[in-house]
Amino acid sequence: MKRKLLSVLLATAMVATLMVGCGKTETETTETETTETETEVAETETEAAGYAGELSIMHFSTSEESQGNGGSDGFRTMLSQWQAANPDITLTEEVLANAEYKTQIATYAAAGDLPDVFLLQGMNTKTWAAQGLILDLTDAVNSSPYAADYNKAYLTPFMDGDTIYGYPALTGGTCTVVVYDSAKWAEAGFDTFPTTWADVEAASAYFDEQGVDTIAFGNGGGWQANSCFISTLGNRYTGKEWYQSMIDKAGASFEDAEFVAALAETQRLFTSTSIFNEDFNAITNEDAREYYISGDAAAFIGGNWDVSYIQSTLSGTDLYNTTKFAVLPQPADATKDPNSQNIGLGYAVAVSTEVANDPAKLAAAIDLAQYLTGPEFSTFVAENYALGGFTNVANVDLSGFDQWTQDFYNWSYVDTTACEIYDSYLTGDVWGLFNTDLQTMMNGGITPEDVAKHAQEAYLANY
Amino acid sequence: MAGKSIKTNSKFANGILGFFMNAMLILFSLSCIFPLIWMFYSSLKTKREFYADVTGLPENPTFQNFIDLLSNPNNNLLSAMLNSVRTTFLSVVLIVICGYVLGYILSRINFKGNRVIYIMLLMGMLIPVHALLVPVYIVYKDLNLSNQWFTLIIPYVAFGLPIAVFLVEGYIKAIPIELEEAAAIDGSSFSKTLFSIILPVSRPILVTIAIIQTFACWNEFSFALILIKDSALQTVPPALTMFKGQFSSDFPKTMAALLITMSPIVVLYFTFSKQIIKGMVAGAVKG
Repeated sequence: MKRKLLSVLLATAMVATLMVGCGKTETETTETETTETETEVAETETEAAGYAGELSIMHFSTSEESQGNGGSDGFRTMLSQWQAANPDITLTEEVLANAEYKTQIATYAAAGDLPDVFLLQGMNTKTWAAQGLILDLTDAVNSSPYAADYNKAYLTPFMDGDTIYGYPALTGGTCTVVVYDSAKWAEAGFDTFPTTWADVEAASAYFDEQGVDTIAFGNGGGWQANSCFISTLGNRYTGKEWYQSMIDKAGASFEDAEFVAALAETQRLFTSTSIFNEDFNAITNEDAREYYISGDAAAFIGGNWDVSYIQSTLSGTDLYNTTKFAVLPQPADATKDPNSQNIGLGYAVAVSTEVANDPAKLAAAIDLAQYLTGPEFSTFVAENYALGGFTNVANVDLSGFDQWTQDFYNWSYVDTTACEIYDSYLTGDVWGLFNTDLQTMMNGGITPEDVAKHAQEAYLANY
Repeated sequence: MAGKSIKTNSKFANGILGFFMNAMLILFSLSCIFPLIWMFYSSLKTKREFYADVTGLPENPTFQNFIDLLSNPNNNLLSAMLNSVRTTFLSVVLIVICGYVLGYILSRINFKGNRVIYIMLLMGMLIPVHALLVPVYIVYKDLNLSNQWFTLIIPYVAFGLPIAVFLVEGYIKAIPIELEEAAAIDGSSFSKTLFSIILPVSRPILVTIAIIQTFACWNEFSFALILIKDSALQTVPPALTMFKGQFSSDFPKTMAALLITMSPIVVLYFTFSKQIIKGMVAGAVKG
């Protein structure tokens, strides 16, 4: 009995010790302040002057991410400038890498505890708006001092009906660009990159003889075929209205004949032709672009982030001078805009509904959102990276940039027409399934009809 | 003559067998060691060189990745290591102590609810951690327990205890009860028996638990991600993700960071290697 009593007492004491240990509050500070130091502090007039206190922001522009990434560099720079201009506000930053950011923000949303200001992914807009997690910013956007210069087309992923839930952030870059070696294609008999897949197939016979891949592509991550291929190719068959109807749930379906035709063409190109490298489903875009850089491929399909990498890697080489850009070729049976490429802003600066309880804090949050996406940001990324943001800046002087940068800027923003990036919209539940099916389909393991059917079922069940 | 021939044949066969056995073991060893070697020489490459030839040796080895890592204050690698060491040490100590006492009590003392407590503890091993992330986050937020230096110790101890209790309970059951009876006849108190008689006998299983939990706590990612907001309080696993961008990853830098951050664990391993191997064997036999 004595032994039992002692056992119970011992166990209780241990639990109590544990609890006391947990309760101690000798903690290190939990607030981080922006540590960017070498930033010129702009003479920023902000409307946040009336607020003194804490403001939390969560984003994924890490120090590493910002190296060579114009959007991230601009975002961090603007954040530092804004904080320097608002010394009474303690900006608490939570910075995570992109993948972890998505996990974390989803956890916060599920717990109803979003940070004051954060980056909203387009595909979460409708769900989080319905749950009352994100603030209606329609009036704030429309009455912004920069409203006249906003590129309103970028707002679509962050709207539910006519209500706007965020300021599109970072930079708008293409997700589907063909980077090609004009010298190699000239040898194959093409002065410019072919505008039809039929011509690309013809060229692939020549490149096969040379032992060179016609086009390098990497879909090892599963998302690349969606973001960097079908999103644009689908638009060639369906047109923009179809996808708008999908977003608005206005009757379009993944099983519509036009979209299934786009899937069928994708399957044909990857399984029945020798255009692409054989290991396209096993390697990522990062590996595939090396095929191009090393001269083992005559072209590469990827996004603007790949172009930045290829540019910095090839600088000073002959291939640098012969590299050009093109849109995806047009399939023979496609009838819509052959000059389209998917471009947009995948994230927007959004504000938690909790902030609305404190008007001064809300003003500060909106001021921060406007500053992060306003003319200062756009000027910074245009002058330093030849990139565009939500706010248009007039007369971008590209003369300081080399020919490569000027060509790519014009290709991205002037010479081509924009279509939507599929996975900026709808929901991750649809795209997770779709990407896996698409990968299998490109190996010939599933029919386009089945891919469409599964996607439609997921769409109806989750969106 | 025939006997000599049989002996020679048998020697030859043994030699062949020995050669193949050794070759197989060398291959297994290489498969374990190569990732470390690859990690080391990849950390001496530039990003471009790495992607151009993933497994090739560096043409111009450089320590630039290490210099960049240690000179960039935004990386927080050193503070992440300190946080990991503190969290892991305290968690493991608490798991071992609590696991030992609870395991002993559940093994040796019959009281009402003994099995219920045991089964409840074991159920902790059956629930996937990811299913608990959101509820745990909400509880921590409401109790103001998140984002503190000790935040991670609580779930690590809670989720480490079931396996510790399970192993200790099984191990102590195999120790003859006569040992404690002899101690009791000699006038040993309960606590003395617990900590002076049985504890030394249980050392192998406690070392096993310590090893398992050290690696589990050091590598734990999910709670470290959702319960800690302040980068100054981050542990190693979330800190390492900072080298992965939205569309590209700097693998050579990640390798360099891995080499730096794994150093405490490597030092620990070489310091206690004999003990660890003994403990693993004991755990395998008894646990």
